[in-house]
Amino acid sequence: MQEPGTWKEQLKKEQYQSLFAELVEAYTERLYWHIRSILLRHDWSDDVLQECFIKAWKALPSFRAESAFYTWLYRIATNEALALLKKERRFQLQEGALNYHLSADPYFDGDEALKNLLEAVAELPDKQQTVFKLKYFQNLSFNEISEMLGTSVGALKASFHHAKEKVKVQLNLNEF
Amino acid sequence: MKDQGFKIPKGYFEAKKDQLKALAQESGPVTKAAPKTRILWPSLAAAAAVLIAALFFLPLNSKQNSDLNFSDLQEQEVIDFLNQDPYGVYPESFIELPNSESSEGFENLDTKLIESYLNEHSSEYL
Repeated sequence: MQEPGTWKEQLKKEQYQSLFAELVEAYTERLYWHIRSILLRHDWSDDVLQECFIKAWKALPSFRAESAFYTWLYRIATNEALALLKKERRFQLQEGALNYHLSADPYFDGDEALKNLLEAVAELPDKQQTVFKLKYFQNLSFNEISEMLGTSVGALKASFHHAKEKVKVQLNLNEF
Repeated sequence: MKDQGFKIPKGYFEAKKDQLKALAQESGPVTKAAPKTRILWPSLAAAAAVLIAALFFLPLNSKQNSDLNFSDLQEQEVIDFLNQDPYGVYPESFIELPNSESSEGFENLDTKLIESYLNEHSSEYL
């Protein structure tokens, strides 16, 4: 993913306001869909997207630009989304309502097969879920995912393999 | 990116982008944090000053101790020290003095007998 070289120049010159505006323009949509694929719900995704950009804004002066801006933003977004998921899961476990039903979501219009797939993926452990979504839905390479999550390519491949196997089993079970 | 069947409210992204840019403007300019070395500098300087002071004074104290001579002591201090009894033990308390009966017997010994004993055995040591 190529980023304009002017962004690093703006960072060096401490032109944070204009740089941030460009980052918002370039990545709001992509980050939203990334967050939405983890959280499924629009309202949660909206909150996390906002939190992600606020954190990025505050941390922008300390960003060393050793990695690409999108890698950095994706990492913040992933961490924020997983943190919210963990918090909500704990809350839902206490409340006794663990499953989120996409069919009840006004912002979901996928067919039955897609709904089953997303619900099966939502049952996976957080790490496997994230890898599966980044690989399958967003079509990112293992190298890109490795940079985003700070995990080795080997470990990611193993996670993806396990995730795929579990989803297969889950979908077969759902059919019967 | 594959379609995941998700929808969003109409005009969501445009509104969101404006909202995010406005948030950054409202929160004021962000500034580069001071490097850690700059923050640590005063405490490092203070620690170095303490270390130098310690190095400067410590050898002086040890020199003073090593130069101390017995002749520097006041006579009264020596006497006081010798009179001190830190353990409360007097050597006399461990010496068993002969009782009065035995000393009487010693006084009654025949002096002639003693002299003759000494005369007989004195040659052994010559």
